[in-house]
Amino acid sequence: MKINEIVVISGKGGTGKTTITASLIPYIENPVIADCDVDAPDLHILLNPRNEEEELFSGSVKAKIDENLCTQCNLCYERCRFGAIKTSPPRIDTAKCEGCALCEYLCPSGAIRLDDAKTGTVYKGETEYGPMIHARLVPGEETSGKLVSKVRSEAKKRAKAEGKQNVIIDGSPGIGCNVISSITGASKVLIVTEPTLSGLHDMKRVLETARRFSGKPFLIINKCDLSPDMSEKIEQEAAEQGVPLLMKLPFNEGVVRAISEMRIPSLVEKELFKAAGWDRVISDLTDT
Amino acid sequence: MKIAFCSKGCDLEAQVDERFGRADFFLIYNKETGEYTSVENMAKEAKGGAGALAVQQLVDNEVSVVIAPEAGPQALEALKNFNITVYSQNGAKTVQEALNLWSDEKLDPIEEPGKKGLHKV
Amino acid sequence: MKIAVLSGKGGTGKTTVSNNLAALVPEAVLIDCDVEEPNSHIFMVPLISGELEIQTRYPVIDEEKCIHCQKCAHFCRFNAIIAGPSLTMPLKDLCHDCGGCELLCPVGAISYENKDIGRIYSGTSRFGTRLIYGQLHIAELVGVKIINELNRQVKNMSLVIADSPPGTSCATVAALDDCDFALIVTEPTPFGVSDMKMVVELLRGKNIPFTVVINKAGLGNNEVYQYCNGENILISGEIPFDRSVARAYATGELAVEIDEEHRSLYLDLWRNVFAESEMNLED
Repeated sequence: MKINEIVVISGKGGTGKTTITASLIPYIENPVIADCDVDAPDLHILLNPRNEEEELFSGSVKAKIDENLCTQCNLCYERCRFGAIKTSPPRIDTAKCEGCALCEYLCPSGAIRLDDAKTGTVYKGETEYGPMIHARLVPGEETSGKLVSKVRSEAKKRAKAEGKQNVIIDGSPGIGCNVISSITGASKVLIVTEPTLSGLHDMKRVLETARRFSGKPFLIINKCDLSPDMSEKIEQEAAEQGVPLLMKLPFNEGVVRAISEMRIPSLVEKELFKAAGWDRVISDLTDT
Repeated sequence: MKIAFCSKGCDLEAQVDERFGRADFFLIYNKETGEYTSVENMAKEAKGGAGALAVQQLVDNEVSVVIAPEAGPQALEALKNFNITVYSQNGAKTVQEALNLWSDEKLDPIEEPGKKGLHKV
Repeated sequence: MKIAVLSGKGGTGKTTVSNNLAALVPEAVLIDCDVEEPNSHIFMVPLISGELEIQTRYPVIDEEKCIHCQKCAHFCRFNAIIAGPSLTMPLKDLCHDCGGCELLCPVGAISYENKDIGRIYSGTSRFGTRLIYGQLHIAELVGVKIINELNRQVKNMSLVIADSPPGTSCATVAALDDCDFALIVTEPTPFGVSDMKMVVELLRGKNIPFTVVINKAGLGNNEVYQYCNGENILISGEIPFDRSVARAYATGELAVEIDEEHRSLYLDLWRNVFAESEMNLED
C-alpha cells in the first residue's frame, strides 16, 4: 500500500497552512497527522492529542571543552569557522557549533570531545481523528531539518503499521531545510497563499522549491477577497506555471473565531468551505 | 564480483529494503564463491549524508553492482564515479528473488535519480 | 542600537511593523534577515546600489597528489567525501565548509572552490532610507551565512532595525546576533501566543530585553494579554486589524502612507519601543 503524503506549505508565513491542514483532517479517511513546523508547532493546539509518548531527538553533535585539560592555547578558537568558540578561556557557543569536530582533532591536550546534542522532542499521541506526531525544536537549534525528517518518518511508520494510507502534514514557512525535508518525495504538495504582493513573491519561490524536490504542487488562495486584483495575479501565475488552483477561500471572521475557540474551521464554517469547493480539494488530494 | 542488495535482514530470505541510503543492511553476495555477508548500514541513523555514507560502505566492501530501490542524484553520481552499476529491484520482494532476477538479466539499470534532493527520511 | 523584530509565528506582521517603523525613522537602517522569503524590498522598493554574492566553500581534490589514505573521508562528519582505493570524491552539497579536510590532508591535495548560496542587495528606499536585504538561492538549505554578512555590514551603524525570520531555529538566532533589544510582533490568537512563548524563551535565554506589539488587535481573543500580564511583559502598542490596511498591504502600500491615524499609531509605537530600548541599554 503506497502511503499518500499530503504536505501543506506556503512560502510566506501566516497564509493559513495550519487552518487548511486542520480543516482537511476530518474529511480524510483514516489519517495519520503530522506537524512538521517544528520551530513553531500549532496544530496540536487545535487537535489536543492525548497519551503522548515523548522521545528526545538528537540530530547533531556539539563540542564540549573539558576545562581541566584545556591549556588555553586558543588553537580551537583560531580555527573554528563558525564563530562557535569564545575566549578566554575557550568555551563553546553551542548555538553556533556545527559539530564538525575540527577542534577535537586539533586540540593538543585532548580537552575537546563531541557529544550528542538535544535537537528537540518528538511527541507521538492520539487525536479524535487519528494518530498525531509533532515535535518541538530546542530554540536556536541548527538541525531542524533532521527533526522534520524524524516527524515525517514516524508518521509514515505509524501509517504503515496501522494500514492507513493518508498522512497529512502541516509544513513550515520558508523554503530552506525545514520545507525541503518535509516535501522531498511527498505525493501531494499543497501551497496555501494569500492575495498580496508578498504572498505572490514568496509563492513563486516555494513553487520552484516544490518543483525541484517533490513534483507539481496544488494551490489554494486563502483570504482571496482581501485583494481581488492580487488574487487574479496569483491565478494568472498559477495558470502560467500549470499549477492547479484547487480553491479560493474568502476571508471570514468565523474562521478566525473558530481557531480562537480551538475548533476546526471547516466544521464550524461548513457552508463557506463547501461553497468554495472543498469537496474538490479533498478528492484531488486523496486521489492516488 | 560482489553484488550488494538493500535488505531488511541478514540472509537471502530477507525482504528487500525500500530505501537505499537508510536501508537496514547491505547484503553482499560474492558471485564467484556463492557466499554472502551482511553489513549493518552505518548510514541508517546518520545525522545527514546517508546516501553518501551508504556509497562509502559499498566502496569499502569492493562492491561492483548494487541492486537498489532508487538512488538520489548525488548517490547516483558517486556510484557512477566509483564504477558501481546500479540496478532497480524491479518489484522483487526478497533478496533471493532480486538475485535470481539479476542473474537472469531481468533487472533494469537505474540511470536517472529518484526524487531529487535530500531524503533524510 | 540594533532592534530585532521577530514573532515566532509567521504572518503576524514582522515585515509590516519593521517596514512601517523604518519608513518613519529616517536614520534607521532596515535589514531584512528573512533571507528565505524576504519581503521588505516589496514595500521599500529600493534603488539598488550594491550587490554581494554570498558563497560557501567545498573541497576539491588534486588527484595527482592524492595518496588515497582516506583520512579526509574518515574525518568528515557530514559524509561529504567518499574515498576509495583509487578515487576521492567530494560532495559539494553536503560540505559544511569547516576547513578540516584541507588541514589534515598529509600531502596537501585538498583545496577549496566557492559555491553561491545567496545574494545581498543594498540600496535606498522610496522613503530615502537605507535597506539591505538578503535572499537565499532556491534549493539551498540554510541562510545563516547570509544573515551573518548582513550583521557584519551594519555592525557599526547607529540605529538598525532587523526584520527577522519566523520560527526559532538557527536563522532567527543568527538575526539576533549583536542585538540590543527585540520587538516581538504577535497576534491575539492561540497560535500567536503559543509561538510567542517560544520566542520569549529564546530571548530570555540570550538575555535580550524585549517588548511586545499586538498586531491585528481585535481579531482573536484575550489570551495574549493575559499571558503578557502574567509574565510582566510590557506591551508597547496595539495595531488594530483593519481591512483597508490589509488591502493596501496586499499591493505594497504601508499603513503609515494611508492616513494620519496610522502614522500616529506607528510613531507612538516607535517612541515606546525606542524609550524601552534606551532604558534597557543603561541597565
